[in-house]
Amino acid sequence: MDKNEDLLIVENLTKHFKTSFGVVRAVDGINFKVKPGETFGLVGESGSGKSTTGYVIMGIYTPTSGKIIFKGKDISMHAKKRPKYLKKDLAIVFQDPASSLNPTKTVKDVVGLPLKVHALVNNRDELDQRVTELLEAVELPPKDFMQRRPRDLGGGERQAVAIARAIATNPSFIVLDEPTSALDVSIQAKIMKVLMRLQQKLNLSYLFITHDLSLMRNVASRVAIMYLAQIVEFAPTHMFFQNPLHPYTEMLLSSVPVLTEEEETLKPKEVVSRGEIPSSINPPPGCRFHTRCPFAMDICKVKEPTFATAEPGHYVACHLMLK
Amino acid sequence: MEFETRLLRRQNNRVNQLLEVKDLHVGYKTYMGKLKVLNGVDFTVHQGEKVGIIGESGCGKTTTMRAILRVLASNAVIDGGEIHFRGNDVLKMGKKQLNEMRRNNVTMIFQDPTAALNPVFKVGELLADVIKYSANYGKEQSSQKDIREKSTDILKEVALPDPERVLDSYPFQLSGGMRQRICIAMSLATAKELLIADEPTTNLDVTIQDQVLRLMKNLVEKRNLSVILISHALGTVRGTVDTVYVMYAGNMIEAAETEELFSNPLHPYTQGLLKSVPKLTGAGFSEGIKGRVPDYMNPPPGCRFHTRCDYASDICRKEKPQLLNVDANKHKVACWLYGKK
Amino acid sequence: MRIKLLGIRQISSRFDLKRKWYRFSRSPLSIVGLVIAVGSIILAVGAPYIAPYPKHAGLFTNLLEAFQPPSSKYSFGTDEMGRDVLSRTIFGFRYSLTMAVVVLGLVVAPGVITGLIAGYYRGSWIDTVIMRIADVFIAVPPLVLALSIAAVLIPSVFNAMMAVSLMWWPWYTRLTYNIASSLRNEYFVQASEVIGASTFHITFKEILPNCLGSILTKVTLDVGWVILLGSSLSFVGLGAQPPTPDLGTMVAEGSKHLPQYWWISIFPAVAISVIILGFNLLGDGIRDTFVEEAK
Repeated sequence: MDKNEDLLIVENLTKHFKTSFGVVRAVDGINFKVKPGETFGLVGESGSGKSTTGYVIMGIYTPTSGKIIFKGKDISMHAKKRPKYLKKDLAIVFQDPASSLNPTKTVKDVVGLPLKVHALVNNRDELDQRVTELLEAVELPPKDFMQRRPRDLGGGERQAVAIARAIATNPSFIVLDEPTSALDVSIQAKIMKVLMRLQQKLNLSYLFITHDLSLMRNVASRVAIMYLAQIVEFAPTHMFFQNPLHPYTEMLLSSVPVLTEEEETLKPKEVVSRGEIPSSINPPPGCRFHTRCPFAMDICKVKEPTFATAEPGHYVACHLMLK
Repeated sequence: MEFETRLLRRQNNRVNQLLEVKDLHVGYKTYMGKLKVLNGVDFTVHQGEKVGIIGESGCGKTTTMRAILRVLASNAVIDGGEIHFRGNDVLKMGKKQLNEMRRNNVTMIFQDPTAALNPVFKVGELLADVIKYSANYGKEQSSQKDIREKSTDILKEVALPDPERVLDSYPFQLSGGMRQRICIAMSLATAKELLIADEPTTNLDVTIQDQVLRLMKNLVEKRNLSVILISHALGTVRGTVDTVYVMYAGNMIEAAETEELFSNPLHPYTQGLLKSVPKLTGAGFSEGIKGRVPDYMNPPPGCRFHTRCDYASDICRKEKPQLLNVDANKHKVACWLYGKK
Repeated sequence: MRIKLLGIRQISSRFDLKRKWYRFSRSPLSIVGLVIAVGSIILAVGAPYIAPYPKHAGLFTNLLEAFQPPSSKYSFGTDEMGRDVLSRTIFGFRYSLTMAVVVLGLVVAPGVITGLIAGYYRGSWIDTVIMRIADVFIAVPPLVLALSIAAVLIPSVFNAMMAVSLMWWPWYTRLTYNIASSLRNEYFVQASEVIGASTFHITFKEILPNCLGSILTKVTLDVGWVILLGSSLSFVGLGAQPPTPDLGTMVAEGSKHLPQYWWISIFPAVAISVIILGFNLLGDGIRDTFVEEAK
């Protein structure tokens, strides 16, 4: 694949859920592209739609409208309808290590499943060998861990198994949905190191979803901030953290708990968090952030802002920019 | 100037030790044996002091707090040690004394506000219970109207918009941030001396976390409360407390004033922990801390961290280091690197 | 596809039996249940060799020794035909347990399979069709349904078993459906779908193993219920016919001679209670073991 060609293109992706309370607008028209070998970061809080985006890309949900184009092919459908060979190429690591592994299966079963499904091994010995390789790649000593069950594993170890399962079919693209949120800090560091090494070695692209901005700073090459089903700001990482423009981004950044004075100076001071996240069933009209925005103007309550280019590669959807 | 005020306050309070935990040993009995979790916990909270306890999951922070309030699980055993609250031995208290302590002196906020609020009662009813239970106990009656008024006041204090509507709502109708605020309101509805907050903002969104933490700080200042704030999120603790204790595998292994701890960590575990936190400066990821948390069924002898420590020596494997001062009361560490026999 | 000869060690590690036994054996009552259950099975299987007077279990008359109270010769006494009540009771175990095995054997597989499918396709028409059919069968009180069916057909052990089977399967459907539909949206199931595993694999190899604990518990507890239901049918004359030594029939026949010749009814009745108690305790033990597993 050409380095400059996009691996994944998401076009106007929308996902609505019909519930008894009304239509939940989880994702409402988002656009972005991911290049081969890069880590694209999706940041947001609850209700932002970031996880749903990841699930729709993987085919766990069918998009309500919009397109997902992977390696030039349209895959905007449920996983069941996608051709089998494509499923080798995309993988996902879920947020909760406890429920992403079947409690009745051993580590070998879990990691071996994709190998068996896609007939990547011909016999039991090859399976053993390949599973051993995969466990080594995620730094779990194979002899100790092959026969263990999830209940005997710590959170970090379970996530490592989930990662081993994800890379088993040599995918080009992995969705990582808050892979370390449930883990302790020291274990998070280990897992992130494993993920970074694997990305180098296997030339993987990551869609990295998290609410932790400090984490994102160290992992993504480009970042998109989601608020209430829409992307509000979009920039390469260094630009983003040096020059956050959208008021919500500033609010997020100023809420990040940091450890050193050095980091404190990097945080914007002007926007202090206030207000609650509105419901996805009835999002506020106009700019969805206006109910919490300290700079809200009249136009924000009525008209949805379009993207403005602040600098090359840096896009913001805010009326302040459009002036 | 600020440092001097703090120092003065500390000197005055040295006599006013509100809570003292000495050499606490707690285990849990299971069918496979005994989990020896707390291995001699030492820590102190002075009047008006805000103490943070940081440690990763399973290190025993919650167990320690439950031991203080004597609400441990039924299979827990206190194998040794002392807990003194205001000079009284908590472990020897009778039911009546304990209840008094829980009602009038100490209160606790938990991690999951949804689980802490009874879903079948409206917020108004929940608050009324709390108010009635402490006010009525042997004292004057409060009418419905009084209770309603007091409840509204309490909710206003925790910055909940539209208190009347909140009082008439069920917990599930409110957001996570609002629920946690109600829990805070309930725990501070009546005057208390010590607030124990066990991971109060971990389940909340980042922007809401910030709001709730600021609210807590405000209330604590206003009422001059002593606080124990527990978190595995180091940044949360840093902005909120004066003193930080670091806990590992059932021991307090380091304690210092906040800035001192974060700028000058002494214990290898603390150092590893701080290095593991991703920074906004973009310095990348550390290797974490090698090894695994010890098995409480068969904990390593001596210092429980020695199996994972790059500096472990013979004595570390044999004898457990005590939490000792290394810098004139400003910094304590439990490590053989600093304090040979 | 290779067929592996499974040795005991492999089965033990496949199903993690050592740990399960550890948990199971904590409770003395579970052990009691296990002992009774195993004892009942031994009696049932070895009846012809264990019963002192095996011939008394069939057509046998010895009116000279009829209505004998319990003695050293006949430990449980004799009945109105002079048959040894002890031997007949032991054979009664055989009939009761056979009925339980046959009914449950017929019922578990269809029930579980329909429940799995309905659970996997939760929310779709497949779910609705399967579960509403099951609901119809569940709605009718078991004894009434069994009585009606048995009354229409010629009374016999076989027909009693068929009648009971017909109304028993939907309970397994419902049990499995509940578990399968709750697991349907767990991450590990979605992970398998995303990987590309077939529906067959997901339902039978991912979801089903998580249901086994509950199913096994229910099967064990059901042994008692099936035996009770079968005995009730026999008691009213719609199941096993005399001279078959079915425990229910024996209680019915003997009830005519109460209270004077109490041993003819009481011993079979106690036997029924013991079997049910034993399997209930065993079922409780199994449930506790699997509940611990889930933690």
